[in-house]
Amino acid sequence: MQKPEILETLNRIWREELDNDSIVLTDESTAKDVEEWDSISNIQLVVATEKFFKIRFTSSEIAAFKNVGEMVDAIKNRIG
Amino acid sequence: MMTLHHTGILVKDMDEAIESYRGIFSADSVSEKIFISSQQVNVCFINIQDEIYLELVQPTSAESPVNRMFGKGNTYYHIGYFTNHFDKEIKLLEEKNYKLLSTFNSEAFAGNRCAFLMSPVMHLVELIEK
Repeated sequence: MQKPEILETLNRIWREELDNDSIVLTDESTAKDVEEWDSISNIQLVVATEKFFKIRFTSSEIAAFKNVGEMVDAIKNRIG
Repeated sequence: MMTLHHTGILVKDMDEAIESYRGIFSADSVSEKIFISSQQVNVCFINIQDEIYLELVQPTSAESPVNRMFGKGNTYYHIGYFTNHFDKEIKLLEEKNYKLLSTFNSEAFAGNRCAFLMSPVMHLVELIEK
């Protein structure tokens, strides 16, 4: 899976988990850009992402993501 | 090893909630209200049995991380455990894919360290260093 597909998948996960069909993620997106995205829902999003891609992130990895693009890069590195 | 200490319950009106529990448990089962600055909440412990408590939690500002729980209609929202091995327990839970949300020093436990972790099925637990 290439990065644009990963981003598209994350966008779908974000919309489903946050119950908001108007969300449009970009590589630069952060929690500040999405009203429903807070520290609690962030874990919900990460867990849903892990389940979909069958990968795991450590707590320190999650804390280090500065934006969606960095998460996309990490997913790409894991799944090849 | 973790030992049960409390169940956390969100309340909008602390005094009203305390009054509702005074009718069930004795007056001396209710602690003082304690402000937890890092979490922006007031808490009050109700001793319901031996050393097991209900922790009433009232957000004191819009920035409190627990505010959003109200939006989901949750009231009972976490279980707190004492542990003598704080760092080790966090590591063990992380190996079980629990995600560390935050660590802080709590005014409710003499400044001891506390940590919130979310389980893979989105159940929130608090570890309290004993």
